[in-house]
Amino acid sequence: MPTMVIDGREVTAPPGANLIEAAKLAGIEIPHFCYHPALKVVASCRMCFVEVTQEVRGKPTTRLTTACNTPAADGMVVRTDTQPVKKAQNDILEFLLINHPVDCPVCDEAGECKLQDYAFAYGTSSSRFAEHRRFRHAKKLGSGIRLYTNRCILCDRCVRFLRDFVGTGELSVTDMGNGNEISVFPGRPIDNVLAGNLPEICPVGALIAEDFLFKARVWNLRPVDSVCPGCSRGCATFLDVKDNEVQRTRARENQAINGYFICDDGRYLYHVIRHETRLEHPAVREGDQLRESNWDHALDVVVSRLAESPERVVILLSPFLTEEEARAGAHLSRVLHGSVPGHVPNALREAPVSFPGGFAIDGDKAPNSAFVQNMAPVPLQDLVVTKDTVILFFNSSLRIGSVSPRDAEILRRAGFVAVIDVLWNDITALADVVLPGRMWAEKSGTFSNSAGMAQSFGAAVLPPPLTRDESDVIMDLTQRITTRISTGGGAIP
Amino acid sequence: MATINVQRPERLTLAERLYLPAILNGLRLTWRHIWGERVTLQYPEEERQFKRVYRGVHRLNKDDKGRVKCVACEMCAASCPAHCITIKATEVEWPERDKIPKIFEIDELKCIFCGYCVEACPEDAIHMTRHYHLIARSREDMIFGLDKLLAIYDETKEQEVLRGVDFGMTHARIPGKEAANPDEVQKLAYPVVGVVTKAETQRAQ
Ligand code: SF4
Ligand code: SF4
Ligand code: SF4
Ligand code: SF4
Ligand code: FES
Repeated sequence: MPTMVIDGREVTAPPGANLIEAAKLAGIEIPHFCYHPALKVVASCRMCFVEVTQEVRGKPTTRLTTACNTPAADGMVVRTDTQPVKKAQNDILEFLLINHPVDCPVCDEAGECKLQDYAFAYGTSSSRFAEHRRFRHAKKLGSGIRLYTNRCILCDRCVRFLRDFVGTGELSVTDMGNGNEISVFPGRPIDNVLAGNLPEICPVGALIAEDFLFKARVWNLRPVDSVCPGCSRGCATFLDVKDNEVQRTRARENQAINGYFICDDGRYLYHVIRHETRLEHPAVREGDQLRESNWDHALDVVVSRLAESPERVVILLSPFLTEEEARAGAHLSRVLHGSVPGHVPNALREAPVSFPGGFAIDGDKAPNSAFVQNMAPVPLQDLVVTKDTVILFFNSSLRIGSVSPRDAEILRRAGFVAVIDVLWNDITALADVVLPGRMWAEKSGTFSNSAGMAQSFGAAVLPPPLTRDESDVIMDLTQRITTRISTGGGAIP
Repeated sequence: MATINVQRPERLTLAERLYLPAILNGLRLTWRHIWGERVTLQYPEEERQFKRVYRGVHRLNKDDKGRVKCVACEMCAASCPAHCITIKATEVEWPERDKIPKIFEIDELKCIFCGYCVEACPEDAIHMTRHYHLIARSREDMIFGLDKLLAIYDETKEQEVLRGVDFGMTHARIPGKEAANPDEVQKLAYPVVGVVTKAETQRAQ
């Protein structure tokens, strides 16, 4: 473990760390553009200059060097605030801004842009450039990514990410000298499921997600710690909220899962929250029609069916429920007939995918399968379902088709099906009572990923007014049923 | 405990206690004004003329093609202490610009007419006019939208009004517009705010 002194503070860095990381441990920020902890070091932007004093052939030597490609070594004395360092930082910024349009007012990155922050913190606000600025048009690169070519500082992060981390290598630097430009190959747009990370990787506003284009200024966003419900990998995310709407999803660093990145499936899943098929009011079947109803009536219908013959009730849990909801569901099942609930396994499965950089996407497209199977070990297909069976199914599935046709067939066989769900889907279509639940962004809870790691998340936005939290509905049902049963199946006192 | 020495007022003089001299003094003043210059205006028949830098109702300026000049950067909204500006942007495919406001609302009832929005605007897109009649039938009508703010521009474009330069803002090299004060711009940091135009590219190439 090398021990050194950075700006007068003694730091012990882990072996292999560079000076940027070592300084970070001491709480000192060394400005950098091209360095990214998940990518190979190229030391091309020259923003990270520091002054290092070290023994070279027995003599202490002081030199200006780039911190990102200097490994921390024993006995180093590093200064990040001397006059030569400041001059270097300022000159580099002046160079980087030679062709930059400084169109911050219309740039979506403004507010979280390294160039903006560093120009403010380390620049001196003067440019001696008297020539015409280079101009390049914005380009659509594919996968919803746009390149505002003018703003690019050619740090090469995007190229390295696609080439080394994703392994698809769609981007490269074309032309030479002043003509340098990030481009895709002709007819070969960016086409991979990690492309949505590019705007986050780009330290400036050159790579912009069309999904977020002109949606909001970032200083108006409120980030909420969340967990992606897209698959059983359970990436940590931020949901950025404004006006009670999720405006975008960003990766939240979690080295135990997928590091600094998330996949596009998870990134754009937030659109489901305001989807047109969103279930927003309770409904009760009358004949072959589901009619809009209110909570009290709908719950009364459910409770009267459940209380008729508790032993014939089957409680079903889906892998989209949080841990808290699954626990509450299991409790309700015990109250009713003293046994554990069943589960409806997620039918949306794909082959797991992994990338050279270590990113992995789980094949199970539901967030909490492992935990729910633990709480409710018996799958629906192993349960006896006849026309006397009364089913209470906590589905709340974010994806259409998460119940297999075979399971749907079994559900159709039951005499009565009440379902809590968040979207109108094939299951709500066959149900007798439909209760509107809430999505992950509208409640707090915990998901356990396939490796058994539990992560909690908070509510980001307010739910539609007539929906109710699944745990809340389970509590309410439990209470109504215990009252009903203890009064001998009669009317609620 | 701290000690505060309070200066009590002197006792009233004899003249003050007599009361009448003060009354007469006041009457003299009234008398003078009755015969002096008339200052009361018969509003609304008569209107007061304010200086150019009066901070009245806002207007949203138009560029030389008659389109909204605002680029929906939300700098005005960010600087507004009354939080009365609401902006939603949209994309357009104009050669020199791609972002304009779809919604631009100022709640003139919440506004405290401080002028910060004018100062903050990097495009010189928002000005304050000398209009001060704010009359509406409901609170909703006092939320001025894009149409209204642009219409106010049409009405007042001949007027000299409060602009960004009055706060020392310099709006350099915005397409189709000259720098407010070219000398000052030279000294400024990176004065290019706005998008470089196609025409400029062609010149450069
Ligand atoms: S587009 Fe962004 S990430 Fe790629 S080289 Fe340019 S500045 Fe760097
Ligand atoms: S890998 Fe899975 S958990 Fe991670 S972002 Fe993608 S869908 Fe979400
Ligand atoms: S004048 Fe002041 S209070 Fe009124 S809109 Fe502008 S910044 Fe806001
Ligand atoms: S600061 Fe100017 S350009 Fe920006 S949104 Fe306000 S009026 Fe429009
Ligand atoms: S971060 Fe070190 S040279 Fe770019």
